[in-house]
Amino acid sequence: MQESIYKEFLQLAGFDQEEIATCLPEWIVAAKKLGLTAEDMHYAVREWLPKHWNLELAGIRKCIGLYIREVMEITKLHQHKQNGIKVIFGSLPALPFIFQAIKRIGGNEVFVSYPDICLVTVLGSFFHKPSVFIEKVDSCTIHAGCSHCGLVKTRLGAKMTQLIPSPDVIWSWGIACNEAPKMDELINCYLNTDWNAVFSSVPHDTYLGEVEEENEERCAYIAAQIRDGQKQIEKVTGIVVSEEQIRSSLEFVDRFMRKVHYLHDLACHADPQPLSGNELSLIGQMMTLPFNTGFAYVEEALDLTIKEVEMLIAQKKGSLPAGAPRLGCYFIPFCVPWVERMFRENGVNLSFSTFYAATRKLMKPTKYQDPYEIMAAKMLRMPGIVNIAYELDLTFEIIKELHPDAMLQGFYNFDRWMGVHHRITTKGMEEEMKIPHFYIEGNMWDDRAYRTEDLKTRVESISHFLKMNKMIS
Amino acid sequence: MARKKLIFDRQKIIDSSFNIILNEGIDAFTARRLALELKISSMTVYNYYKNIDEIKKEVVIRGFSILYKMFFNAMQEQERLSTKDYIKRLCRIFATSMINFAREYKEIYVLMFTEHGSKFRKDHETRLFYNFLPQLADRIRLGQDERADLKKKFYLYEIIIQGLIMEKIRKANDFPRHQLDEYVDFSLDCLF
Repeated sequence: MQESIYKEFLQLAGFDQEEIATCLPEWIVAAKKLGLTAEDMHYAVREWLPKHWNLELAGIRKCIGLYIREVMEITKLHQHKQNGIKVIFGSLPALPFIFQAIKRIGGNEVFVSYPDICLVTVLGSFFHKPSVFIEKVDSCTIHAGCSHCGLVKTRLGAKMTQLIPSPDVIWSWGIACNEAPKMDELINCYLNTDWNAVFSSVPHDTYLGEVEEENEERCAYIAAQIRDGQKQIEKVTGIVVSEEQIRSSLEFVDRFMRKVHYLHDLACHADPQPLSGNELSLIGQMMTLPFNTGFAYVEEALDLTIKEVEMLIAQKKGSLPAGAPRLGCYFIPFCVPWVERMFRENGVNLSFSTFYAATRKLMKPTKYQDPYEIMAAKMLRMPGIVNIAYELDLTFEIIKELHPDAMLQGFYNFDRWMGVHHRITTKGMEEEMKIPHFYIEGNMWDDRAYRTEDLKTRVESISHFLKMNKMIS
Repeated sequence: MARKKLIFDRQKIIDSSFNIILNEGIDAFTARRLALELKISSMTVYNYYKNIDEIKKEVVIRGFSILYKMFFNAMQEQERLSTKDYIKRLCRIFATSMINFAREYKEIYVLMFTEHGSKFRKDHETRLFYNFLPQLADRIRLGQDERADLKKKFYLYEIIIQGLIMEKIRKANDFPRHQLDEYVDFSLDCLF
């Protein structure tokens, strides 16, 4: 056993010496359960992490550490369940507010996580090995040629391989993604398990362009869905969440969101760009997840990154020279981080993901008083959840705030909803924003169907185009 | 290397397709011809690409990558000029890059810019690579009316250049390079 390489990994992931001493044995066991070998660890430490993440920034290392802590906990779930800890899963795009509130109340008696996104992030972004669980699914249920979201496949794969037990309850929000609840049904039928799922959903029957958060009836409906879901979770877990606790979760996420917004503001307006789009997206994703390992780590990582970015800006440091073109994205595929690297090597910054960039509008108070309605309204301000014309308006706001030189859509062609959205909205966005909108077919969770050479010419063409555009403008 | 790949040969397919089209022309390019070149069955090709147009699209993207690289390298050598002179210089370099590209990669040019490539003008991944000059008009600081005029001029200019290049491809030696250059310069003077 090459223990030292596991230790080196934890050092790179921002663990301090004392933590390493206690976490190392756990990490070795966890890595084995995740299908990561000493060779994988070596590859991550020597090659993959330094190539794709700015490890000089302690904040980024802490972010990596945060996700590592989370998956280490996920690998201990069978044990937790045996010890009587209540296990609650969620899946994107569920908002984290209630999950966080449950964790605050339940403390060590409850485990709250979105296991699939944590596993995909860690395995793809930090090890280039997201296929550990997906391949299991490919081989027996949903084969590789059949496009499905890497997240739901990972959930099924993690259950099939017995990495995760059945939770006491999974709260599936089918509000934007109808595949997530279907996967929970599939897990129950295919694996014949006690995979207990609670579903929340909403019909997408609003008018094009309707500002959905202003529609009181709609907000009330979604609030009722969330309230009902919460009651079902209460029945299973016995954990009662008061309105006050939800309000305090809302306040926490608002505070976190303001910081994420500030970081985007800093990074996207500084020249040279001090932080990569991968890094901004990895941090942005943190505001959408409930971390079982605690929010102290989340805030610490974010605060540290902000300080370091301010210093980089003062020193005029960035990974590319000043004046390099910036390409905003709907989703920067940070689980396939070589895409960003390839653009960087061609002199172009991938700048931000519209999905993870908090806008000023997102942070404004809503007109509602009831915390469930506030949650509903906040959700209806997120692009990707609302009708396509309103989504465009919300995206325009982000583009106007962060003014990239061009936008890049795509990497979502496996998704029946979002994949089509990207293709439909591209032209409309281009006409309104007067900047080019490129599109690349791809999968942001899983790059087995393409490799660097496949995207090379696309990235080069886009980069030449952008550099000329920038030169001329 | 930690990563296990399912697919290893897509790039080889594109390399061979690019060479077949370049050397034998777009009409000679079929799944069967490609399979023969790669010593695989036609069906194997379809394991990697949905249809032959998907492969042509990859060839078109590679063509644009080469063309834009030529253009970008030539532009980098230019000094800053007044806006009007800069636009004229830009258009001249654009024409030279297009002409050189068409000379060196004639059959690829035919695929990209004739009816063979018309579907790629609408494709989500490739549409932006077409009409490069008109798109640039949005990036140049001008008044609204001036920009609208410039957009039209750029559009016309690109069509003229493409027409002249096709004329050169059809007539070959009967339409010598110096004559082509004369027409390019004349259209530049007329439009800008």
